[in-house]
Amino acid sequence: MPSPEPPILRLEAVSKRFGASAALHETNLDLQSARTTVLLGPSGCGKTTLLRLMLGLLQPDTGRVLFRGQALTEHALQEARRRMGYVVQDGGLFPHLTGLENVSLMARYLEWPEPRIRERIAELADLVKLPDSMLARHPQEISGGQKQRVALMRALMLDPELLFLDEPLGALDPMVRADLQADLAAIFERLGKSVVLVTHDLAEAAFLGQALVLLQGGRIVQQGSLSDLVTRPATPFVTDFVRAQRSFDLETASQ
Amino acid sequence: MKLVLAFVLAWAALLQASSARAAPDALHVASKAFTESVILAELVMQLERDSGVPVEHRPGLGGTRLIWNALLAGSVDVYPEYSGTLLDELLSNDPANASRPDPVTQAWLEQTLATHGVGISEPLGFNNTYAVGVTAERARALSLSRISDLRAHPELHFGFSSEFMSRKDGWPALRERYGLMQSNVQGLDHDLAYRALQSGSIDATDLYTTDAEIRHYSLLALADDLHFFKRYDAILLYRLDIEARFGKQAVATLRRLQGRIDPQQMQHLNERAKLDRVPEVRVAADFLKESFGISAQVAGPNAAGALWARVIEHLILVGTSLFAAILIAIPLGVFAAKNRRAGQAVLAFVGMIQTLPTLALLVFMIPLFGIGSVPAVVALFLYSLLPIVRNTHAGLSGIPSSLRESARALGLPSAAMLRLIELPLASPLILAGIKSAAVINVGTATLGALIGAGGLGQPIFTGIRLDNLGLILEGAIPASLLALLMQGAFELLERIVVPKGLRIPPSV
Repeated sequence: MPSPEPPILRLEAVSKRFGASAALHETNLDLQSARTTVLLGPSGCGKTTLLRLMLGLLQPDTGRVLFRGQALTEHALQEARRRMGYVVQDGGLFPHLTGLENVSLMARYLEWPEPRIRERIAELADLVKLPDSMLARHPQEISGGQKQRVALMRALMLDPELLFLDEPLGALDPMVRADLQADLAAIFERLGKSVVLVTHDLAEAAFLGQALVLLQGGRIVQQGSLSDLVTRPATPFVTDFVRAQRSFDLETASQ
Repeated sequence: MKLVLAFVLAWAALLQASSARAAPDALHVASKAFTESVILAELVMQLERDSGVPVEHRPGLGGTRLIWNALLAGSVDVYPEYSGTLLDELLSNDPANASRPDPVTQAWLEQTLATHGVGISEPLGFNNTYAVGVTAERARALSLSRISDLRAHPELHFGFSSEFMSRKDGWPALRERYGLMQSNVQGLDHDLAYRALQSGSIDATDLYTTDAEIRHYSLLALADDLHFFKRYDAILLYRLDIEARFGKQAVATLRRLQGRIDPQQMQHLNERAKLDRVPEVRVAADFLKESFGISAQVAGPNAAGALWARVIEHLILVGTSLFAAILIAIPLGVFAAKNRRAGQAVLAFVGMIQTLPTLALLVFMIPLFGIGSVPAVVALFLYSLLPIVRNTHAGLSGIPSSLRESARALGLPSAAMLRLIELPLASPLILAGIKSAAVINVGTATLGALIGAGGLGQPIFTGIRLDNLGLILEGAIPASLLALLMQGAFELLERIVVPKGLRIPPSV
């Protein structure tokens, strides 16, 4: 049996309050590398707060976040972020830049040589299946699905060790969503990167992720695979959550 | 970046060229914004020039306090004043009043003014006092002949010059002395008051006894039966240091006007300038030829050249103030957006500046910067801050949080984030702020003429003073065109500065 690899990201007794309400109760969590971890749960469960703490966009009230064993303090952040990629829900593309400029922004800032930039972009465009002509356009001129592909390219440009996606398919219509879902699964598989994905959709979570982390009311309720959640629910909430999503899927399927 | 540098260099060259036109040290003769004052200043100028002293005119300054402060500050050397104004307005709080003899003597005046570094001439020969004027027609109808007669008509509508409204020897004291009950009293420009009298929108106004219009509009100056109005003998005030700067002769020359102008002569000079539309330069020259045998050469004004010079002056006022405002206001706006509490204070402060009336702000500038283009530029600069600061702040605060988070998550340091992401995203609003500051500035800069800054306000105010519509339009039309041009230039600039992506409407 191989010795367990050290976690790429570790949360030690991390908690966060917004005013009087606790967004995240004291939480411990290890993310294993080369796996896709899905943060799952209903809206307001704390999954987005958890993600933002992992990225250092929020500072925890207690505890600390360790990236490759190093605490994400204010001054370590900038360096660490260049080793992380982040795709926000609507893509977060800068409207004043073309797709290409969005993707190459950081590389240019870090003064990569031009041939290296071009080479990397060609590689990524191929990976996310985006034609060059789309990259020449501004975000307002391309579709939602294409925007997410550009955003994914931007997040992957510096070849990060850890990739975060916050409901990347949330705003897309069902056809585009299914398409991109399949492509994402293939991309994750091919890259073998450590990925953290936030979603409220159990089917999507099961389709894309190996490790599911289910949250409720600012706490982790259960971690494991889909079958763990189905066969060994930790609380009645887990059963309810699984059942609600299934019946919803059945309903939409029958329509 | 190169574009900005080229712009700065071009501007510096323009400023250099314009300041080179000013003589190194000249005797600065100023006048207030009415014809008589301008004629008297012209008389002084032509006499001094004839005796070989280099002179420069600062015509039509807007207000007694302003011109007095400019005299004390050294940006004015000589100007015509009236004894009543001097005593009750300018020296009213002077410590020397404790020893003030009654009646006031010339020796006391000389002594008191000397403590301010100011000299005074003997009276020039006429008493231009205030009077209350009504149309002859109205006087007949209501049988008015004395100010006391106004007591019987509390319904009358008075329109007094703004200065008369606020002076210690003006309306409030007049009302008290005569027990006048009229409540319908408004302040308006002295020259507009005549037209208001004609049209019947006011019934009475303050006049000066040597006004050209008294005969022209057939007005009646009501008798001052309670001897309320003080004497307003015309005199010249000058800085004592002109003797050191230009020689004893300079003082002797201006004193040649002492006792040489009687009331009828003055009214006649006013009439020629105001009603016959003879330029004051010419009116003054003719008088000097008649009374002193001096033939001063009067340069014929080159209309197109003069207009062009006004436009350039105007552009320099607007451009310099706007450029400085951009340099200061954008960083201020950035600061306000990044620091919420301090930012509110910054916004409140620049907002407060905006509420100051323009003329008041211009007057505040005099003790600090003298008169001329510097205080005008500073005032315009202050006015330009608000639109630019506010729009920069709004542009940066309005950036969606998903974009801000994306930028932070990329690992961009905050300076680079500002330069590469935030400022470009805010650029349409920032530019709109600069545009509105520029357009407002073009209009406001016309008021600069009141503190000797020149520009297109000069023909406008001269036109109002002379009741000359052509002159007013000569300033007003280029000013409007300039505002339109400014608008157009900024729309063009928008295409260069605002990134293309922000000008595409969302299509998908």
